Amino acid sequence: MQVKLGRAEGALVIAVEEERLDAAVAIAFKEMVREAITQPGVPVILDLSRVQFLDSSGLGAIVGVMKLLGPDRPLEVAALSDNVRKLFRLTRMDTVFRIHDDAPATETIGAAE
Amino acid sequence: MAHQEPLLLIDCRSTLEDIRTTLQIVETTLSGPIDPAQLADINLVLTELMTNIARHGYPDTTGHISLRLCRGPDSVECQIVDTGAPFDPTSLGQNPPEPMAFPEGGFGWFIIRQLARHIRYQRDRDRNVLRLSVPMAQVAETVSSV
Repeated sequence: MQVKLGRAEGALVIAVEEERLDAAVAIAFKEMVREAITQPGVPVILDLSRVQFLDSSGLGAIVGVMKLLGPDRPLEVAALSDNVRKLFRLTRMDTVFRIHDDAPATETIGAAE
Repeated sequence: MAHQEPLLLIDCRSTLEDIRTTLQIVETTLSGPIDPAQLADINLVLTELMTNIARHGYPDTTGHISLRLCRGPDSVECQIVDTGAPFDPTSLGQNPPEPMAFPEGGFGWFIIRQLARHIRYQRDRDRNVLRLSVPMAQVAETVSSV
C-alpha cells in the first residue's frame, strides 16, 4: 500500500498507488490517509487513476475517510476507471461524492508506504 | 443444464491476503477467454463473497474456500464451497444502504445481487455450497440503455 501526496491550488491530492483497493488493504489505506490528511488543503482529492479494482471494503474505507474529514473539509474523488465508477454507481455513492473526470496536475509534496 | 466448459478450479485459505492473491490469479487466467467487463463483475462478486466467508463464515479461524468457474452459453457459472458457519443469503442485500447515511459497510450482498443471477444456496452436511451465474455485462447494459 502506497500513497503520494500533492498540492493543486488549495487542494490536498492523495494519489493511491495500488491496483486493487480491496478488503486486504482497506485498513492500511485508511490509516495511511488518516496520516496524510494532517497536511493542510481543502478540498481533499483522492486520485484513483491507478486503481483498477475497488470492492465494498475499499469503498467503505473511502467513506470512513470522508467522515474523518468532517463537513468543513470535503473529500472528492478523481479519475475513476470504468470498474471503479460502476461500483460508485451501483451503490449510489456517486450521489455523495463530487467526482472529477481527471486527476488534477499537482506539485508533489510527499509519499508514504 | 446447458453445456458448461470448465474454466478454473482453485482452492484458497480464508485470509484476506490469500483471497486477494486468488482473485489476481482468476483475473490473469480468465483475461483471455472472458470479456473484460464481465470479468470485472466476476472479480467483484467473488471478492465480496469470499470476504464475507472469511469474516462471517470463519470469524475465529482460517478455513478453506474452493472456487469452480465454468463458462455457459452467455454467462460464467460460479460455485463457491466452504466449511464455515452456515448462512442464508435470501435475506441479505435485498435493499441497498442509504448513501446519505454514509455507510461504511453492508454493501456486499447488495452488490452480489446486482451483478449475479440464479443465486442458489445449499447446506450440504458441513459445507456451504453457493452457485450463481454472472451474465455478460456489456450486453445487459447496452440493452437497458436503449
